[in-house]
Amino acid sequence: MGNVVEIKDLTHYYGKKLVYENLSFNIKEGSIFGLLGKNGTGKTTTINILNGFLRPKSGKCLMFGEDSYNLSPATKARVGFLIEGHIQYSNMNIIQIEKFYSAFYPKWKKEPYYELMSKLAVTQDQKLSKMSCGQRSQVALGLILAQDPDLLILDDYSMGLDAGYRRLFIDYLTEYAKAEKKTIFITSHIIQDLENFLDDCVILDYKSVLMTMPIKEFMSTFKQFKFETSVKDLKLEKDDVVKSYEIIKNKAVIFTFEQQPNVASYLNSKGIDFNDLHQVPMSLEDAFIGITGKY
Amino acid sequence: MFKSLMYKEWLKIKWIVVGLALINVLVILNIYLDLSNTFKELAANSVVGQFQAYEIVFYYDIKNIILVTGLLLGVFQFFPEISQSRLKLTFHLPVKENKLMLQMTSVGVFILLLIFIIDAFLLSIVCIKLLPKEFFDSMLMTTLPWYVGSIVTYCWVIIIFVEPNWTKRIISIFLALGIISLFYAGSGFSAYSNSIFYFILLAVFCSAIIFLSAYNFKRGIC
Repeated sequence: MGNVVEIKDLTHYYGKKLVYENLSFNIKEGSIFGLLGKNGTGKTTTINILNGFLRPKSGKCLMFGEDSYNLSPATKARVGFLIEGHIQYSNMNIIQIEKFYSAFYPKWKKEPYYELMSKLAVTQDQKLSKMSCGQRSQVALGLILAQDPDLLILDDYSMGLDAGYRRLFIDYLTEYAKAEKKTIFITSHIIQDLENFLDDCVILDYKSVLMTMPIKEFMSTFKQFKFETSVKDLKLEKDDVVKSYEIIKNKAVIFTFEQQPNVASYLNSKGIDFNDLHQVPMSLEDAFIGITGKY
Repeated sequence: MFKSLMYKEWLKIKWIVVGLALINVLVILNIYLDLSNTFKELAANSVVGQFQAYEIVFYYDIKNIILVTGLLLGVFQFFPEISQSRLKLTFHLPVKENKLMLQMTSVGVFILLLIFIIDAFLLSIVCIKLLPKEFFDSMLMTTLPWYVGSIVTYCWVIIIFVEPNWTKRIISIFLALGIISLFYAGSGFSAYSNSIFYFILLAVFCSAIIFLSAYNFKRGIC
């Protein structure tokens, strides 16, 4: 399988403020790729660059082999784009907006759109501006599914959605997109929803990339260890072993890619007295916080 | 696809278009009634003589309405596009961005032309019905810069709204005020009859700047 998206050495600044430098990753055809990071780490910037709405300072960004800044209409037709906040033409109702978009896309399938609309308690002449955030999100998703794109780019699909709508969103993505081997590029600030959904991910930090790897590999190699220590005012530093840590009184937590014996050796080498060193299972959200830190 | 884009634009602006057309018609009706009343109260010859002697533009009220028509149409058509960066949705459609801008602008200009044709037609009836033929001739040449100015105003609203950089936006506002005022500065009959060609050239130049704003929007703020 080829790459649908290729990003190589992408660097971007807003004025003199560095967003990130040398961001590189590929999105394989048929995979579900998550771009994760805290607010302000450059997720939407990356999506804007990918959709040709921002020219990066340097680096290469290809979508279906084309420079993302100069996408041909044929390539744009292959990409479904959900703007952060589920933005759509709010002056239209669900019939009008479907009629409008259908003229632009040769593979348009209105069935999934109307199936999704039938689940919403909205009238046919109700404008999008009069709908709740959750209802608007379903309209936006329905339109993308009807477009039947090869690549879905979903910028913070979970923004403003309650648990029910978030679940509905992921269920429909799974039903229509994952089942049909569509490629999905997704960002979200609610990590827990993506745990069983993603194949690969990039985790961004401020000005840098923390990691790029398949989600299964990340979850199996990234670990959380807890221990107690008698050392007062224990101080640790981030290094090759300790990716992140937290110390509350005499209890410490270390996040690392190392195995337990290596962690024990590391603590010994630092002269840190410890006991009850044990691994604690993590969810994706725990691992995300572990690698990015709480602050 | 153009038909579908027209559909989207029409849904967005239909009420403001109806409102603006109605205001234009009402103002011309008011001009007609004023003129009729004047003719009833005073001798028609005397009124016409004064109009000619002092170059009184009896349809002067329509000047500002024509300007406001272009301004409001631009605002109502493009503010929703810029609000929440909705223009990204439009630019993501499988059509070249410049073509989309051209098509959206064409819809607005076409609607303005329709309103102005109605204006000119109604003003012509007023002239032909109440005044000598030379008033009709001068009316067309006097109002033409106002109509062109309104289209230029419409274009500048788009330029200012679509431009993402605030510094350039503010510069554009001042530039727009200077350029638009040229179209409305003249007084008297056919004040700009010798320079109408240059006004049309200026209008074409201004409309081309729309593509620069669209380019800047797409490039994003760096």
